[in-house]
Amino acid sequence: MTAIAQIDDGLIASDRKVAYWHFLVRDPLALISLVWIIVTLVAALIGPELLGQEAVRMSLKARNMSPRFGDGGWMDILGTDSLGRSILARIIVATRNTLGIALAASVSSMALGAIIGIIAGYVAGRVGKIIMQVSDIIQSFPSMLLAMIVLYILEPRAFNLVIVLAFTRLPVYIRVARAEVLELRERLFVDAARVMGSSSLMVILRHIAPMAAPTVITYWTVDVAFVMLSESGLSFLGIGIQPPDITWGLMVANARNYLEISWWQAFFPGLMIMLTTLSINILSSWARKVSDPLKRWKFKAVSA
Amino acid sequence: MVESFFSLVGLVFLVFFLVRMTGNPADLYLPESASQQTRMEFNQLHGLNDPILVQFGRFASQLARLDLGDSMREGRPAIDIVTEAYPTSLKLAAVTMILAVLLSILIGVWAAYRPAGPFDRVATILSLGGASAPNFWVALTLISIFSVGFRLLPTSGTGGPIYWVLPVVVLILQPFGVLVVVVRQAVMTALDSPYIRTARAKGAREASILFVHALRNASLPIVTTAGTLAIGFINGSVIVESIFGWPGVGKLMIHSILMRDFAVVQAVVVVTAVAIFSFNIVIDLIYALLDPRIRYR
Repeated sequence: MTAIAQIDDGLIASDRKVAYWHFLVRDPLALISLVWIIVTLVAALIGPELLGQEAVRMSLKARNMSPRFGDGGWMDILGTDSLGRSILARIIVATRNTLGIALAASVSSMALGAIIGIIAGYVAGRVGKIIMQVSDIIQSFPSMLLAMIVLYILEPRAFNLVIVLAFTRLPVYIRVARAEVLELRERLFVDAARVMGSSSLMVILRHIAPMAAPTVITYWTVDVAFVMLSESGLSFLGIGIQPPDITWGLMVANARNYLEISWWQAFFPGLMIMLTTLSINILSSWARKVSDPLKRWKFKAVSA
Repeated sequence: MVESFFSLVGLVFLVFFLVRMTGNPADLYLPESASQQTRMEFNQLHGLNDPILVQFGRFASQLARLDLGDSMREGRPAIDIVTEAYPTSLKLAAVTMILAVLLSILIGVWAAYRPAGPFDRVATILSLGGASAPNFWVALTLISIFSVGFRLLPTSGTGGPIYWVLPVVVLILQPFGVLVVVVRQAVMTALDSPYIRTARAKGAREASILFVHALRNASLPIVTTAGTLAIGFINGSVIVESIFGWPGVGKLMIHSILMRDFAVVQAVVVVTAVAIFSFNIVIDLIYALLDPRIRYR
């Protein structure tokens, strides 16, 4: 009996993997997005080691050069900035900071927010109310002010920017996780677990958290893109990452003064932000479509 | 009601203490060569020598009399400065939101009519692109094309309708992108309902089925999302206002933080919180207007 069930489970699991792959191949847009994200991840992993020197090499002769395939070879393909540094090399090197900050901030705020939200949902009553009250205050707090204060008190470094961004996104995860738990808490299987003598901690870890996870993670995929936009916005206003560190947002900000003579300095880093957030959004909406059985069926019918 | 009042009070307290952690205004307002004597007098004049709790007590008692203090930079009531900046931001936000709602309803309903059709695909990509684009980059790109390149539109400033084009186009992208998805989803759900079949059976025209029957039932999620987006605009849009040189509340906020003009920062936070509070009431009224079930409860 158990053996058969296991075999079935195995079959379904491998079948599902194959099915996801098929859905992906049939949806060219999602496939391109996935490839793009993999490319940027690779750039983030090896970029600074590979092109770290190239990104800071200045040249008086090659200032504000338009995109070309000249003496510098591939390095000039996106032009050079006001100090004659290669835009392409700088974009690739900045990938690590840009993606790193967005991922670190969104993952830590998801983890902490989900834990707090689950507690607020499970332990309703006064504690839950106080948590939600505090989260409301955080949500209505102007994030710009918070960024300024943290960067004044601490040093304006990548790590502190991560803290600011993670903190401002916390209320959203608290809200999502709590709503999910409030609903799950009333389900029969949770009652059953409790009747069988599970402790609160066990009920949360074994029964509630796994059920709430998919919703929270779906939310996270959208949020990564949002956090990336927030970081680039803060860096653009000059209260995010500080030179000599670079992110795509900071590159756009620095290029602002040279807009009249060299459009490429602002255009390409911004395009990178746009393409990456777009890819994340496309993939996340694709994943939502495929993981929903009802829509997956429609999807199959349409794409078959 | 009571809960949002407590949130407001907590927010104001927090801002009071946090904004004072950014440093002493004397360092910014007095020349570097200022003597210790001058500094003491400056601090005395603005009440910065007192213990922070005494300062807070003074602030709270002023607030209770609806007095938000004077701006250090301009030497006049902070509330006046804030109420001068607010109309600029609100006008921009209103024009943007109205256009975004109209456009997204037109396109979202059309996309929902033939899901997975060519128009739906284009609309989906467009809306995702709109929501993904960093607005400062769109602003700079549009400036370099239309202002620097073709010299058609002004780069920044306020004035006639021509000054509105670029800021509105930049600001509309994100709410438009988000709303199209919501409209499409809500209308698709409504179109699946039996009452739509009834409407078709009695011979209603397709246009009236879409825009009257389906849209009315789909309107609640649209209002909810549009409301959330509009609340984001009440804070003013710092980036767009500073790029296009609009003297709005977002620009005022960042400037006051940088200049350590504590009274103005506090005034912006208080006025914004009150504005959001009253806006939420307006949204509740719109719900009641659209949905009889809410009205009669």
